[in-house]
Amino acid sequence: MLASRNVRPAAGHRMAAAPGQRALLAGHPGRRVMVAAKAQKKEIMMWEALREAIDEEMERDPTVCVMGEDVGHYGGSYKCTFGLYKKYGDMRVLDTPICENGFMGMGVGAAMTGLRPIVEGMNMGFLLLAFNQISNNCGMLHYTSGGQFKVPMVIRGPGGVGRQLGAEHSQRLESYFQSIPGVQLVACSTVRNSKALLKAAIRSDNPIIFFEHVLLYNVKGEVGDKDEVACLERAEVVREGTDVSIFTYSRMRYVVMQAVNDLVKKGYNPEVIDLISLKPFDMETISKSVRKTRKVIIVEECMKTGGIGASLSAVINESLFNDLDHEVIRLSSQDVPTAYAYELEAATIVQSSQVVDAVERVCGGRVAATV
Amino acid sequence: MRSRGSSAMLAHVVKTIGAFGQVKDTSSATALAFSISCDRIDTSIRFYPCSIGPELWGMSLRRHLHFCSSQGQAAVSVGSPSSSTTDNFLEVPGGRLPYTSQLQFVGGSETPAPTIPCYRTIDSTGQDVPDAHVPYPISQELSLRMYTCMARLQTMDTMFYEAQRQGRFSFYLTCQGEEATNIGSAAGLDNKDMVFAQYREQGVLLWRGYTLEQFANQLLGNAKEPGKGRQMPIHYGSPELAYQTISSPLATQMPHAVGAAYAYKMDRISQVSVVYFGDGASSEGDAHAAFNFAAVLGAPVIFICRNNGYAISTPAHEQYKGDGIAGRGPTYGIPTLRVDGGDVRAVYNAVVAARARALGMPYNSGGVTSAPGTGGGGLGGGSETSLGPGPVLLECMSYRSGHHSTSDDSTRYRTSEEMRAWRARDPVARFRTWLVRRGWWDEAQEAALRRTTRVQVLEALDAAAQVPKPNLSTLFTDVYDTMPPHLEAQRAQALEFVRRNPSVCPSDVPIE
Repeated sequence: MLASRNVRPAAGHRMAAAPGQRALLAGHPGRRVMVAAKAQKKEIMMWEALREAIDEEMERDPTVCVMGEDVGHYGGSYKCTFGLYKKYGDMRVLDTPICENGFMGMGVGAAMTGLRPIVEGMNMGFLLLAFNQISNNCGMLHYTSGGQFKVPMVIRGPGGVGRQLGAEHSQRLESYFQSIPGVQLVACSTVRNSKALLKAAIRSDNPIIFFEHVLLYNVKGEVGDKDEVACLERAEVVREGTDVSIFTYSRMRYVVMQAVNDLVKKGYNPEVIDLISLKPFDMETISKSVRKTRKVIIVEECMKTGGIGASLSAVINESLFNDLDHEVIRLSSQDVPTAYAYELEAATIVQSSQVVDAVERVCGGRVAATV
Repeated sequence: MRSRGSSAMLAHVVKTIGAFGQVKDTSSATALAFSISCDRIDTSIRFYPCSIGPELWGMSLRRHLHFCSSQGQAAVSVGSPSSSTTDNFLEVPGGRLPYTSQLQFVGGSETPAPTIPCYRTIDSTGQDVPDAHVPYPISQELSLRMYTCMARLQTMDTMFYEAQRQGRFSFYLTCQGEEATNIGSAAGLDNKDMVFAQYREQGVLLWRGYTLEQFANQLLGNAKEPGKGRQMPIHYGSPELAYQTISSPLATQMPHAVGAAYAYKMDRISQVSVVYFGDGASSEGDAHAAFNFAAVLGAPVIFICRNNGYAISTPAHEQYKGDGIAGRGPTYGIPTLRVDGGDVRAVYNAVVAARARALGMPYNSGGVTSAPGTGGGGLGGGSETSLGPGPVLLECMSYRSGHHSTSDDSTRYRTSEEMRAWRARDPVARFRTWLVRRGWWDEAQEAALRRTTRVQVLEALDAAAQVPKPNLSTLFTDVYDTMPPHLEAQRAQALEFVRRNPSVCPSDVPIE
């Protein structure tokens, strides 16, 4: 599996404020190592970073192509392929008719014939229609062919709970896909890791399901250059700490870091780890953290039942039971379809106050550092 | 804010209307929809984006306005400049549609579309159909090669079926009744054309050179089989022979084939992809997606439907109500041919022509096209033809003489008279009669071929049975390109368990 440098996020992420919401600051550096800031580097948005990744990889390797609805002339519903058809032509940035199972199958066939397709689902939830091709073919054909055929595909798209998009547009497919043998699941969260991870995913020979989040496309941050390619199987230590290990991914990283602001003021020192690789888990980083803090809180956006947290909790219990002082806490979305109404939607997903509350319960009281 | 183009359109329209009277009022709702009223004709006209240029707008607009003024019409709103009763066509983003003033349904049981006829060059008694169009005649050498392959296929199928019944392996299915479809189509392709099969196309592999040993290895799932024993029997795969590993879910291979064809088209490789599927599989959503995509993309893929009349126990008349699968092709924009699937020469000709058509090359014109196997010329665009690459649909009509598989007993849903009648139309026997009539084959050669094949199949099965199964530790390889830690851990656990309890592992399965 392709491995390069571990990517550390640059300091000072800022999330673009949605209407009616305060802008969140994604966490103080704390004690983590800071990447030397390059004064001239400008900040770009996550959709631009993803677009850069696709552009650079398409330029580097002529077998890389993109297919999906409205990716070509329209430039993608979230602009991740904006203008690329002008550079690479209508065939390499292919607009498809509306049939997720159809173009997913097309991607499988093209991949087995030597291309490296990036298949975009306009919304991850629509890829439920493509589940048959993803599970029965994309994930399986390398194995069932005895390694004779490979499927180097990237399946990407926005998922997660957005802003009042209704239940069908707020699916979290990582829970549904995680059982499929043969696929890797990667969730990006920052501008920098989104570009570096997508580049790695495109270069990988395995089928990668690449989870973006619908509310993170306008997050701003720095990116690496065209040689910065992340390791797909490595988790990111967002903040080193000693009190408790908080495992999270995707947009929940920002929710956790908002909670961390409050927790630090209250005298806590949590360690925050962004899982990045949802399948397989980076057990090396995870177990190192658990052995240090002996307490685990998992903060995820997928549902409680059968979610990523359910799998991670089981693995931690099995392999690190004697390193735990407390049962593994899971903060997940409610097991309900995501309502449209703003308040109901907010009540179904994890809020930062719940993270604060969970840390307080797990770690016990603290004397506040300062007033 | 109006674009430059729409300003030019507006100016042109104003000028046209000016010929009828003074333009009173011009207001712009959006960049491309504006209202104009003029004093002679009290009409407000809204314009929608349309593919034809302003010059044509002007023409039809004038005609429309003439009509309006002669009729003394009040407010008229037109959806598109040429949608008036004096014009003959409706312009919409999907294209240009003629009008009719008659309310008449088309299709359905009262007014069905005409049934597409079946192309045939050798009749059921093995005689040439007089005046048959055979653009690609088959030489004696090719005919004998095709016949011996069909006969070997038939014998191989019978013997492997019997072997399963004896418990030598778990599953088999034959292509009895469809030997001509298998071999005729395989012979018409180039050996590098990528084949996406359903599961009843072992004849294509046999034609391309898959040996009886290789078949037997896969059926027994032994260590020599490149699939490493992971798939059930008949799920062959061979990159060397351009035959994709079979995947059980029906019709999922159809979009795959379109993807492969798209790859060829994008890289300008002069190759087609070929996908086989049955009458039942064509009901799957993936079939519709594949047809539609291939047509829209102009992908060089040959769709070969083996309509053998049954999908396990579902007869074709309960699978669809239209004119089979061929009837769907034209409505997708795909050139289509229905073929007698029991006539190997007709199937061969159809596939050779289809291949040329898929590549956008001349076809069907008395031998102008290059012969199969030479790879042909570039994709489309030559001076002789204005066709680009695109899909072709062939529906090969035949009959599934055998049971669906060794898990099926078709006497439960069809009569023995029906099966007997179809066995009499065995395509192998039909072609043999044709060859014998020409003096190219005889009884003695037939007996020798069948005898030799039987011996070879038995030898292959015996040899395959001697080969051990793949190592237990290979269970965990090839899930990914390299083994991730969680699978390493699972493998270590599994092997450790087996070492402590050796009786759970069969004797012909090595551990490592």
